[in-house]
Amino acid sequence: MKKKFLIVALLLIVASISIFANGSTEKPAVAKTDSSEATSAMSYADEIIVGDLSEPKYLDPNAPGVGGSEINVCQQIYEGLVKTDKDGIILPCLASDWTISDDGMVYTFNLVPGVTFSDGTPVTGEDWEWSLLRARDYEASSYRFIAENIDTVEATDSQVVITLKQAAAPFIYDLANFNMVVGCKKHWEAVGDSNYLTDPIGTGPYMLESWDRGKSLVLTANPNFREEGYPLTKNIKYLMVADDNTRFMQLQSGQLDIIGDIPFSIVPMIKADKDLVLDMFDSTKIRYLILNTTKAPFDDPAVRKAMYYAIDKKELAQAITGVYGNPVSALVSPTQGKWSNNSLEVTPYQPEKAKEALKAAGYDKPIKFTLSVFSGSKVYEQMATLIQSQVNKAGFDCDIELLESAAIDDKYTSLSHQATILMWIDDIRDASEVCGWTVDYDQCDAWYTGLRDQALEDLNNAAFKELDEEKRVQMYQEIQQQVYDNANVIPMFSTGFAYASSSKIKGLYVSPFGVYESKNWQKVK
Amino acid sequence: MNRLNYIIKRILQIIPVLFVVSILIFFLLRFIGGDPARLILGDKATKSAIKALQIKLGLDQPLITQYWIFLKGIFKLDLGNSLSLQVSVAYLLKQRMPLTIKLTLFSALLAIIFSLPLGYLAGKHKDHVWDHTIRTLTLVFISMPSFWVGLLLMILFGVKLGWLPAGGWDETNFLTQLRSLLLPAITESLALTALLMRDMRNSVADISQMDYVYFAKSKGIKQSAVRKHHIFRNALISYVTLVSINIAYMLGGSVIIETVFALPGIGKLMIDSIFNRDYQVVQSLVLLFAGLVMLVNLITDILYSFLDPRVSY
Repeated sequence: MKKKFLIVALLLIVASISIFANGSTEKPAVAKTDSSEATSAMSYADEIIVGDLSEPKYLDPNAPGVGGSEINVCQQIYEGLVKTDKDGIILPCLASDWTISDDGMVYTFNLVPGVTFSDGTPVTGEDWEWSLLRARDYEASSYRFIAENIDTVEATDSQVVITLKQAAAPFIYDLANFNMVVGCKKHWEAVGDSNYLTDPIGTGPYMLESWDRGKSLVLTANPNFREEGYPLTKNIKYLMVADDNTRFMQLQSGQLDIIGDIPFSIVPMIKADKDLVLDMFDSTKIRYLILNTTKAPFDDPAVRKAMYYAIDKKELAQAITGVYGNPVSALVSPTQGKWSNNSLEVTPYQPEKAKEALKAAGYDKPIKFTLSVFSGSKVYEQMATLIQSQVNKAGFDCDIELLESAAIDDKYTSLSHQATILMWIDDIRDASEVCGWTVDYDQCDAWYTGLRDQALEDLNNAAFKELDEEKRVQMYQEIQQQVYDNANVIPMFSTGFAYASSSKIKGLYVSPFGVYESKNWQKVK
Repeated sequence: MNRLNYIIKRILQIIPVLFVVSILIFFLLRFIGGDPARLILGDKATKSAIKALQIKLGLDQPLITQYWIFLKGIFKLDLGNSLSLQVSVAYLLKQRMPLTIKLTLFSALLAIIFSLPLGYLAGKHKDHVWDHTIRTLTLVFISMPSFWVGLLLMILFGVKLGWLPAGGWDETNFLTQLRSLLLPAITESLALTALLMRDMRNSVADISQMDYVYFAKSKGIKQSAVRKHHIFRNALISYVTLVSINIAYMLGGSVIIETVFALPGIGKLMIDSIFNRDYQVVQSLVLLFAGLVMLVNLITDILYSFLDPRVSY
């Protein structure tokens, strides 16, 4: 028995060692420093590591389901005709200059000469035509609506001419969006559509070196990048770390250099650590209360308007974000400047006034409703709890329903909710995105409120086509006023983009649309 | 020969069970609702984009057609493609399963190493100091939530001391893998260690009071031989059952451990796939686990025949 036990124990140990020693058949790529660059790279590290909550699904900006993680990686690989600076002003990128016809229908771009893809293939007119029309025609693309207005694209190796279906002033900003970029048609033909989703070739500062799904994604410097001396850091490595506490600990221990989208609860710990830096970048992120106007009680406008007095937005912002959030009243983020209607009042919390308004509308008893929220978001759960306690003192009787992602999705897309909380981040320096989404009944039931307001939709369509910027601003201000009066989409508070990084990191900046350029990043050794 | 026939019979029994499981999981997933296309496309998905993706993924087909496609794939040993990632399920499994297996085995090994001697000690010295100490220890292990323990260990060893990584998976070589798995394995093994310690302690305490043990002692058989052949071997029967059940359970992956320690294992893949209604991944994983559980049960039954001579086939 003893002998058998020893043999079994020995076999177990040998088996364990062989399993561990086996490792994986696919070894992750390791950035190697070229010894000839050692002198110039002495002060700075060759690699910066970013900890993301989730990994990209694809690396094609026109793929289905493109979100934050995909966008940020794609931005380092691909480029478009134009881009925006920190203030949202349009800058040339692969186009050196451009003209717009007087009727706003034809955009003519002169291209920067000599641009190649990361594999050395020259960018051709055919690539531009194919890329922009693909952005428009790829049916399952999440961001197809950005390119929908394109009628024709005619391109040579030196010029791109885009003709629109209708005039649209925001189009130049649409072209700065992450999906309006040039891809290599020959490469797509060689690898096929499904492989193209994960095998990108672009003109940007980085290219894909390796991707071990679920583990890491490594970008390396594009040797054919047109800007000499860039990118400043050879490799950017993305690691997937799904837990915020773990990401923070890995940042502290040096396993990560940058983490974004951090919860505000860990901000004090970041500030207390002298080796870490907290950055709060201006954003267009706002959270909204969405009220279903097709079902009681929010089919009654009086009840919806009473909610303005029943919710303490200031308390919400403070409780959830500390000093990093602000109550808002306009549909469009104040970060969008003139596009936001800042004349709209952030109504103070007045529960008695809410009760009076409800009584005047014929409601003597507390109005019951269910606030359905996504259970995987601490922010939404906190908001729901606070809103419940606030409105219950103001003539309402609110229940909270926590649902997982698919269930909450089903609920509000089928308009079977009464109230829910959703978030929006704009992609462009313009009011057309969030306003369009809020009033478009056919594509999204007016942001899942079920409110069909034809006059408002007509005003929105007119604003979209209007070329005079002053008139557009006024029209969007009017749209926001009407949305405010309808009280179907109630903005709660805005927050910035919270990023934490090692104190050795330089050059980190995130735009109000949640994207960054890593070509300027450096890590001091 | 009898044993061989028994093994073959048990393996053949797996097939009808898996067929029933495939039907159940396929229709249950559809029953709970949720639109994979909508979830893939996200918050800014327009109705037309959702419709286009549903067609592209074959989700607009009748359920029975979808089930038939799934079943055909299983017969061809083709688990299909993940709906959201559009990579083969087999590739995802190949990526993640080895880590889950390593973590499971490492956790089980740690649990066995600690629970066997400590449980035996507690049972041998029933109601004495050792017994009370070890029983208190088991209570503490069971009471501590694993995510909390995991975070504490990471803070101490990963951040403050810097001895081990604060989560993450480094598969460069055996040593880096060991370092990556040590804290997660300790965390995952705690509850199992407690369970096994208690079981061993109770078994040893009960068996030590049995007539045949007294009889063996009264015959003058050495204490060590009595311990080994009569007490320990009999106590192992229930112990082995618990180990095998828990290994089968742990092979399904621990979402909490994998999330806290940022390990790309099967548990996280499963939970993400359920939330994303990635039907293909969930269906394939459930079938795989059902098969694994049946296989582990079979191995346990065979082990019994070595432990208990009364068991025959």
